Amino acid sequence: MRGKSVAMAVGLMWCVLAGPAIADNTTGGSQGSTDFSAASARIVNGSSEVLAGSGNLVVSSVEIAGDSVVVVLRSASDAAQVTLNLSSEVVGGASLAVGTLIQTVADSTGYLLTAGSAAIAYVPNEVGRSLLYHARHKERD
Amino acid sequence: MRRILVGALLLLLLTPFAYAGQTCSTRAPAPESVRKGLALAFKTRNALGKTDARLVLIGRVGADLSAQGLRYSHMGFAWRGTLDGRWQIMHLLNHCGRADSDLFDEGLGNFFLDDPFAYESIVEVPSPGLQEKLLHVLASPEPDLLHTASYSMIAYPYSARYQNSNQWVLELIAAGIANARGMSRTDAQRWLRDSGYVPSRVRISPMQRLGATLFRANVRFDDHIPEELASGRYQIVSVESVIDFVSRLDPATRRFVITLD
Repeated sequence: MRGKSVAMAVGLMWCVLAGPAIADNTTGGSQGSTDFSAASARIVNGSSEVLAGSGNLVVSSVEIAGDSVVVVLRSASDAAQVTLNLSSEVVGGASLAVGTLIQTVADSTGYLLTAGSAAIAYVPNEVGRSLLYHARHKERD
Repeated sequence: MRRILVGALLLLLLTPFAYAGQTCSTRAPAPESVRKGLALAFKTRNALGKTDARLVLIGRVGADLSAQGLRYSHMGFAWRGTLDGRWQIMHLLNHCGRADSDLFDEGLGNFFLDDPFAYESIVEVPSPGLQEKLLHVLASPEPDLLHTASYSMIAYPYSARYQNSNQWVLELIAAGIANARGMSRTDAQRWLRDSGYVPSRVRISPMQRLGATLFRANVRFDDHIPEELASGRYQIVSVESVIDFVSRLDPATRRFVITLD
């Protein structure tokens, strides 16, 4: 009886683990795409050279403007500044505040800005911009 | 032992709720995911640039399907804009946490930014003749006419009740190859069956089916035939089955895989 109960418990545990897994592991991967175009940052003042020139930047001001957050970043190595318009949805989870250290990583498509472990923005260069686009398909007549 | 049983039962009752509404995340993507996704898009674009293709089929590894003998989870059409030369993807996406879908035009970058299981893409380059037919179809009303918003991940290949993303691609291919306008989904499916299309089969246990029925809006079983419900083996339109079908009907098709390695 004891052995049977153990088997039942194991069976139930298996059901718990296996049941929900079907949706993610059968034909998954077609769910709503991240609208990363909207999450991209836009430089409103200054130059992208500030992002390219230093791996570390510091937040010197944060201002919420509707759905956007205007952030001024100052180079940790000199006085150069760049002002970015970011998506508040993306920044919201990153707890951006004055003094927050922002790391920049340059790659072939632009600059990835991270605060701690959270990506707060991607500032695409020309190549990056050509890779990002998101729109609901418009029906043709 | 009684405590173990009670604990297991409580988990059985409560765990599925932890999954409800969490079919996908709306949180900002992790830095590494973003970096890798864009790197793969860049590499894919460069690989496409070395071809003379104007339209390809493109697939991604959105989930680990190895237990079902499958690698790729989702596919769409990628086409090169005639004016600016940019590659754009047209595909069907299931709205996050919902039971419906829409058609989207996206860049290559967006296609790989959905936190895939593996950073790998598969590209199927049809013959120039088939590319021409498919471009013509994509520019017509057919993408919308052959779209059913009611979504099921495991939609039965020969029912028009639901549709998954790969099924939409397959049915548009049918309209393109058959060169038929105004084709219904039922017509397309009949044509596919008559033309030798072979769906993939996935195994779903009764308990998995129960869990999905109760807690997953985007997994439906009521379009499948009784034999499949009884056997637990369900026919679906997979990326692999679409690629195999196109390769058979269009032997000049070329294929390559792109990884970040």
